[in-house]
Amino acid sequence: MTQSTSSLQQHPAIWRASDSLKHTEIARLNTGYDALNTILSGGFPAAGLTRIRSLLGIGEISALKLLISHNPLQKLLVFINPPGKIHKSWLASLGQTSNTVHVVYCATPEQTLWTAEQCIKSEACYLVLMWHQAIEPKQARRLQVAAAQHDTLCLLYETFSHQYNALPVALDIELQPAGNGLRITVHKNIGSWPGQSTQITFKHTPDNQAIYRAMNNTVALQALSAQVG
Amino acid sequence: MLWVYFDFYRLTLDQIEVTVPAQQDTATVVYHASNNQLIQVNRAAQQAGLKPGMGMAQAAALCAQLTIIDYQAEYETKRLTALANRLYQLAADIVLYEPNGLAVRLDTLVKYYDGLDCIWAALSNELQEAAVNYHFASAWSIEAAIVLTNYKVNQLLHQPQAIKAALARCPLWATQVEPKQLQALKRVGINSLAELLNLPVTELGKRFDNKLISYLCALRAEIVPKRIAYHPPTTFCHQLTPSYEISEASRLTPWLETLLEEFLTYARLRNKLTSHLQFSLYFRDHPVQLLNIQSAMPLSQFSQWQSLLRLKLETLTLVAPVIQTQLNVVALEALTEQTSDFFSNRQHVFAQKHLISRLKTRLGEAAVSTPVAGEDHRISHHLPHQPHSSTNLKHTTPGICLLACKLLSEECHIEYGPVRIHAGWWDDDIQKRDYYIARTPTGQRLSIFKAHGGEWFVQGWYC
Repeated sequence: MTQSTSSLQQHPAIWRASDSLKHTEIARLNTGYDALNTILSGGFPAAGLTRIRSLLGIGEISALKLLISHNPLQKLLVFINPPGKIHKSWLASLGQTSNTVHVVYCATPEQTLWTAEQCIKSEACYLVLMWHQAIEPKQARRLQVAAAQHDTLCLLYETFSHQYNALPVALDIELQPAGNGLRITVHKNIGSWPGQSTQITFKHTPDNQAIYRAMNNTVALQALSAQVG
Repeated sequence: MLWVYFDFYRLTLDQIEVTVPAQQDTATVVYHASNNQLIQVNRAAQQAGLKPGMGMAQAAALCAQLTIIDYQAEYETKRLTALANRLYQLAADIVLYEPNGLAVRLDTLVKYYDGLDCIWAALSNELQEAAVNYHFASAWSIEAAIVLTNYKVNQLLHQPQAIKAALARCPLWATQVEPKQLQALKRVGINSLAELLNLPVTELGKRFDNKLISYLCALRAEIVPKRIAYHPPTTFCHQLTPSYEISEASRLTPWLETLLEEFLTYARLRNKLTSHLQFSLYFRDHPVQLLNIQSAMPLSQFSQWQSLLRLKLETLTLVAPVIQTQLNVVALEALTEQTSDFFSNRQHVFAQKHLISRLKTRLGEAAVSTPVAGEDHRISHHLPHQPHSSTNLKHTTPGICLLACKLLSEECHIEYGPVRIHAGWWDDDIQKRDYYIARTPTGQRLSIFKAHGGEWFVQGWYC
């Protein structure tokens, strides 16, 4: 019995469920949310491909502010094929103020994958964010191996326009808007159990609450109207 | 052999505009007093009708508010050396042609850079970062490249036939033949370079001196004249001359930081560090003031030195306006175990340059850009590659802006706003818009605006 499974145990992509507790050697990056860190067993993997399935504009990047601002070695941040122009002052609000941010627009899906691979393999980037629909398992595997080898975190954003397919990635999560924040479901996380979900609260846009509060404050309004006459 | 030659035709102006971007808007010229000619003219001055080659009286008559900078060949040579130092990161064979020309050998680099296009992307990228304007051309010898550059070919030629054809199109004035000999050539009926190159050397040797013959041979790449390749000096000493006299210490910051950046490039190439920077400030009538910045341990990063420099400048009082700044670093230290983080950082810098040049070569120059920014309230007027623009807009900008605004077609609920933008009366693109942040039933946050006509548009998303 031991002999028949020993070859399986040698395989780098297969691990025993009981090993997960010992999987401390996977470096993790703090996400800034305790609940999220807990279900991800420490945080985002520091290197590898991470798929994020989400709608556009629910705060899917702003929620990961800590990952974007954490750049101790002054490396590059690259956006590949974002669905529009990235604004510098928005990046500044996420704590990324340096001039080492690049945005690459690719004409074809092949170019997008090629660019991502080049960025990862150069080891010049600390974070690569790419938008690409319906990546195939083989392509994802290629990027995952490159990212793990070259110590780079690559976030792959995908909308719900395509059906969900399982991918050989380090982390696979889904974001849904919920209340004042996001509900995060983990589909796959290397070295821990899938299927968990949690809710985080954050705020990335201003709102008119201050005005509503002032309008509801009748005492202040009366004082104001008395002053005006 | 393949050489590329760069002619930095407005080096003094470029240096001033990169350090003080506001200078672009005032008409500025560089004036050569000894032959009473304008040498370099910026865009604002061009719009006022000034051209290089004009005299001072004509210039003053055309433009009343003119900033004049005295031309100093010595100063341009120093800036050229600084540029050579910068390019030395990418190429080893560099020959300086003072005061403002520089040749780089390309054929030896093809192997390392995986193709000529990659080298070119790396070089032009570096020069773009240095924010200098130049004419360039490549050819089989430096002399031929200079002729093509003088004729403003601005092409990277590498096929011998193409170089030959381009040379044949050049007129004789583009060569480095002396005017007296040009006259002599004209008398014997040689009016173009093509005719001159077609003549056998022995025929010419009967009428002209050795100098012309050897120049022609070099032009045809038959002989290679001896030349001194650029070798960076062992100690660092760079100077910068501001375009105006600086009397406030805080205004010195951009000039000193430019010098600091140049030093860090220099140090990175040599795997060296320093813990002592010595800035010298020159005054018109007072003796030189030294500004010593020391750190407890050798530092390698710009941000670390920058914070020390800013602290020092806060307490500095100037006795008189500064006319020139200089950075001197004598004590360079070798790397030790404690400073090993320097080494990883060094690799990243080269890897970054390599990556960007690869991407630009494969995907095209336009595909690789930077986040947009600008000194304008209208987001549609914000452009990439604006390293100096401020990032603190009053209203919250969406993270991802659409390339072209689209009509709002879905139901949504306003969460924030309005923020009114009414701008553009000065350039005939008037925008009068009320911006809101809206949330769709699916939870997406949009930046929407109501145009002057009452239609609603989507500008972008808050990602």
